[in-house]
Amino acid sequence: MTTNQDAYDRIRAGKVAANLGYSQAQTVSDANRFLDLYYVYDDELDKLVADELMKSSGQYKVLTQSLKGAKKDLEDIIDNIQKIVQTTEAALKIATIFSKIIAII
Amino acid sequence: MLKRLRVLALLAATALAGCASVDATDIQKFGVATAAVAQAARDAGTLNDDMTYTIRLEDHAGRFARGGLRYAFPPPHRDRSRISTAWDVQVAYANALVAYADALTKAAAGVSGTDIGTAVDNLKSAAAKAAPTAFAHPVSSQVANASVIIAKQAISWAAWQQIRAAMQRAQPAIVQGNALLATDFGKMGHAIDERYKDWLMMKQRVLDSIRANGSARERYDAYRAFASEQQTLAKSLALLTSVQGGDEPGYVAVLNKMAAAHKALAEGQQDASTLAEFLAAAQQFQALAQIFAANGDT
Repeated sequence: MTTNQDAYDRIRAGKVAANLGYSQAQTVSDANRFLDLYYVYDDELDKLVADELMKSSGQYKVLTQSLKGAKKDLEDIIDNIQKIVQTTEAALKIATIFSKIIAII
Repeated sequence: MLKRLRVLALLAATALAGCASVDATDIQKFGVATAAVAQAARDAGTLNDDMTYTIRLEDHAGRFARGGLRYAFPPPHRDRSRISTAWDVQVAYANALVAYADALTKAAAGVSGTDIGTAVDNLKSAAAKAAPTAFAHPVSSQVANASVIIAKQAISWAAWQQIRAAMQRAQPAIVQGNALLATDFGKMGHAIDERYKDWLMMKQRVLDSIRANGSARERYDAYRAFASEQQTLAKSLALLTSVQGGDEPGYVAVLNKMAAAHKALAEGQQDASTLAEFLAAAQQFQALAQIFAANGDT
């Protein structure tokens, strides 16, 4: 059950009526008219659901930004680990050079 | 004194190892299952457009079969519905969820991988090169080895704390986002279910026509073919619609279990069942993604 159940019920009833009208139509123009009527109701359904979905768009935007922030935090952790590795590699290089100089002296 | 230092070092290492209880494999599994959930959110918009197009195709085939009516050939273009356009916001959230889960997986792999070990080994080697005589003594060497273990554990522990802190900051967004998504899956499922009813109505119309005009063999073949189509379609819609019944739609349980599993991981709980329940439940979404992949829609 949705907040717009009445609207859904009305659209469903309209589509069923259009289908019945099409099935029982005696002329081509009547059949075409009922087919067109089906699409009027279908368009209404499209708009109704789209409007319902749009109601929470503001909240989604905030939550999406929040998740992007958390992602950035995690990427920073990965970066920090890489920085630690790079720093220790540099320290090792300096120590190696230093030990060679000591050996020469 | 040195003996006491070694004992303390081993105790500290053991304690820190205990703190780093979150298993990177668990986080990776969580990431994969979360990606499947997010993919289902992306597929839902496509599913609605698929249904809309299927109905148009069916409609024009029916018009052609009846004769005398306007029909389009080639069939009408597949348009993007207003529902799918509105659904872009949900897709953006789903994409952010996937990106977050991916970063989580990489961070967990980074902490549990070889990088930290390499860094600490580099430091030990650098110290040994800078002061070789100090490291020559066997006791000093043992203390140094114990220190390396502590340093690795300490850096890992600190990184895990940061990962958990990031997860705890994300938890409210996941709880609220999943609740919204559950509601909106319901709305989308309703729209898709409505179109499924339309499709059934149109198929019934054609069946009635074949029954009135076709031979016994044609009637039989048409019934069997339509029944097969209906079963395939119902299967692909089952997750998002109430086509196959059930008290609570499957996606609600999956989204709830996902939030619970994320919370357990964020808090470092040794709760294997919460994650296992989510992984098992997420398979429904993975099955949906496979149907889409098989149909070439994704």
